[in-house]
Amino acid sequence: MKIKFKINGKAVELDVDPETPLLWVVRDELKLKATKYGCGRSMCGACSLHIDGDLFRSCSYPVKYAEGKEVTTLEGLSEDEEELHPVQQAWMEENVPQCGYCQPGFMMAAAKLIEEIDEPDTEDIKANISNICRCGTHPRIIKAIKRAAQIKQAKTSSL
Amino acid sequence: MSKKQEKETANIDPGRRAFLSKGIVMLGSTALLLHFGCAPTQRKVFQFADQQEAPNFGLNKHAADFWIKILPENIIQVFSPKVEMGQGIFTTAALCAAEELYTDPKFVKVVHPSTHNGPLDPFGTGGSSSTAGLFMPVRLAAASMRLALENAAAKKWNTNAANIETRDARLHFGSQQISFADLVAESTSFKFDKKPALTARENFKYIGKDNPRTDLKDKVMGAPIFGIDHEADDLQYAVAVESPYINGQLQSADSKEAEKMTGVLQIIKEDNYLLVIADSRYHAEMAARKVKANWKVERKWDQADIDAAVQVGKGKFESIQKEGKAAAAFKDKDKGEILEVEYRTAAAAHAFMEPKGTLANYKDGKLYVVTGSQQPGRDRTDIAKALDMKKADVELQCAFLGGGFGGRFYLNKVVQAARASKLIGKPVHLVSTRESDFLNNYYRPSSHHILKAKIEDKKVVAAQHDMASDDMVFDHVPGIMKLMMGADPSTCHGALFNYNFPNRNTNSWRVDTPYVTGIWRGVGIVATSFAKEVFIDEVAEKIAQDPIDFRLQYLHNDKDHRHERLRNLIEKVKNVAGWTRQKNNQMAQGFACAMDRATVVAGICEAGIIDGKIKVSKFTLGIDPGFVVNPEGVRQQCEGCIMMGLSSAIYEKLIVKDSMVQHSNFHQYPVAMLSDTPEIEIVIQSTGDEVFGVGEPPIAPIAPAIANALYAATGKRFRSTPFRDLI
Repeated sequence: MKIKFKINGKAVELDVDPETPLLWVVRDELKLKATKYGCGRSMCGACSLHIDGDLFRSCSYPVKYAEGKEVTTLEGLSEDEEELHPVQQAWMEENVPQCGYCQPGFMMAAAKLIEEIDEPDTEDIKANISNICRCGTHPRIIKAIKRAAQIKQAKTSSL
Repeated sequence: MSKKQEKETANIDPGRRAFLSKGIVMLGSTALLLHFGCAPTQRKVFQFADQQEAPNFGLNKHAADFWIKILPENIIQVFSPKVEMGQGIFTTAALCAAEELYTDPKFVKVVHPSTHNGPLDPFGTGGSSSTAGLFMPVRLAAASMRLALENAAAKKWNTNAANIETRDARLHFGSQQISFADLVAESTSFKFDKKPALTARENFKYIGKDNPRTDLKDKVMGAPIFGIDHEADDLQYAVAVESPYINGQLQSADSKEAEKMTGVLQIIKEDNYLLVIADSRYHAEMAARKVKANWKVERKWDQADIDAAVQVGKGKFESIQKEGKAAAAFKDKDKGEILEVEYRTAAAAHAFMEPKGTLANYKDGKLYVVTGSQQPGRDRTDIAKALDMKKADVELQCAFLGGGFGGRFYLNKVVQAARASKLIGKPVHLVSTRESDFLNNYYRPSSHHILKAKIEDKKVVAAQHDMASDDMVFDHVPGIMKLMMGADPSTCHGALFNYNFPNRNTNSWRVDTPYVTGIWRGVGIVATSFAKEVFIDEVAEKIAQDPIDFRLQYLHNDKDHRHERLRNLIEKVKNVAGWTRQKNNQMAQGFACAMDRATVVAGICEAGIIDGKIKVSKFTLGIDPGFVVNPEGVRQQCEGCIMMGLSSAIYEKLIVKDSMVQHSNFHQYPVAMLSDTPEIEIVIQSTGDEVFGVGEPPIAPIAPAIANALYAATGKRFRSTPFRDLI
């Protein structure tokens, strides 16, 4: 079945099994590898991405529901490498990753969080992000999200 | 794979054997001269092994150009035989190379060699050995490379090498200059000095300073760097059907329905598993669910059977510490009193975020494999043996690991992927399902401890630690080493008393549990430090002393430099944390410390029980790993150990019912989340010139410090993990 949607701003038309989780379509058909497989059951958040601006766990999202929608993965979060998204810039400044595998999912969740809460405090972050990290980057993720919110606000106010 | 199979493959690995035979030579001077097999000698050998930094055989033997290549774009490529699993070794290696090349680290790119083109580490990446293992070899290679380049430039410009100035990947002489890459393109032969002079430590520009990770940008941009991310033309996707039972043996399988599923290319039946190969990962996984396999289970195991098996007094006894006359002190009933307490730790899974994954591509009699492994050399050997191929025909490229924690030393499923690719003649991507990663794997063994102390006049006159646990590495060492040590050096790591009690006994009881057990971040010290440091807290309480003052009293061994380093560190941590025994609302502080080989660590935790839940609000952790090469890396490892130690202490537990491991995914195996994150402060003490381990020692004090804080807050002792079971 042909399915059409936009990925990181680009229109694509794919002939795939409509039940295939969006995760595997993004990774294996579109060759965008930032979105990770972690648990396959919507529990760990490694596969988080945005669909029409909302946060989804793509391992449990059949690709047929993406028809006509706009999908954003970590690869599409920043305009370009020079102008990083506030979350990626903050992640750089706080030197967040260790193994790095879960980080794309955390960054996608963080990008959504700072859209919804202008100045998230520690409790907001803890209450709203349930992704799993095993290396223990949690304290830096919390710092980076607060910093990302500040960067975003500074950018917005300078416009 | 069953436990028995794992043992068999483990014992026939030539690479491993070569390493161990050298290990025996190293131990020889202390052990072989004595007649081994008797208890005092075994204790000596065990204690020697327990204190050794992980060995790094053969890393120094290569010339500089085997490690370091100058790429045409004037980037200096450095091979790291230690794999990057998040611990930051690529950053550390880049700093070491940059320092001796007089060049900013941004010109250095550290990569994994394949088994065919660079230095291999026969020990693997573990035992907190990465930094200590590469600190000298990489600096020597880089200094040697710089000298060779300076000599070639001097020849080109007809001057003395002393007149050449090197900075940022370029060589300068007066107004003339040339990049490393251009010089290499011009010159054909370089001579490499094997013993170049190294930069003096007081002149370090990059080492010992705060530097961001060199893999930071890739990881923030989501670059395809992990084993699971690799691609090949006409790639097929495999999902394995494995036993859901511990040691289940495949009796029969009906795959007719699965074969009819969309996209299925082939279903391969092997001795003890099936592989479904399809045109997509989704189709392979769906078809795998339709395979009807029957498994034979020889013995039914429940958690109660395992707990009963892991018990001091059962299994094989070995005395691993006997200083003074502890037994006599305990027998003497006329004086003092005895405190005896039992502790337990649960078995645990590694649960790294990247499930095990391998890409295997068999073509024209040769095999190319990409995977994330803590032991790439061993994986390559396993494949060659299983497929009856020459090692030279099997090239294995290690990718970045999505977490390791000791869990990618064995059972990496590389053989399954390689066999499938050879059979179908196409490249195969085998990525474990999360369920398979939880169920068909090896685990940190559970443990049981009995500690006792004889107290006279407010002093400890004797102490004894008995511990029972399954093996971590014993199955992988040859018979002579087993005979020489008697106890598993990883399982019992940290079991000995370092406190200066006049009479000290430690005994190991090697017991057998049904599943495969092995190393997990920190190895035995996770369990031994928990039992010992909670016990010390209980002893201090018994004699009404401040638990830190009590410990300091027994940390005065002038022959052991670690005691002084630990005392200094404890004072710093006390000040930074503002040590107090006063409760603050429902929260209170707890302390624990440890010596892990040559690294010393100390932590103060603030914890309590709020609304029926354990809350760790603050953790101050101090570490002295000798000379600190990469302080930002040390901080990250300490933060990691706090989170993983907290996770293990409060949440993690492997449960078996009807011979099935009861957690197939994260909903049944909770781990620490963002909501568990305490406020964290790291105290780094850099001492001396030698470089010691960082990745594991900081996990030692986490569980006991939390338990001691919870006692101070609630009056209830937490003597077994996970603590969530106790409230």
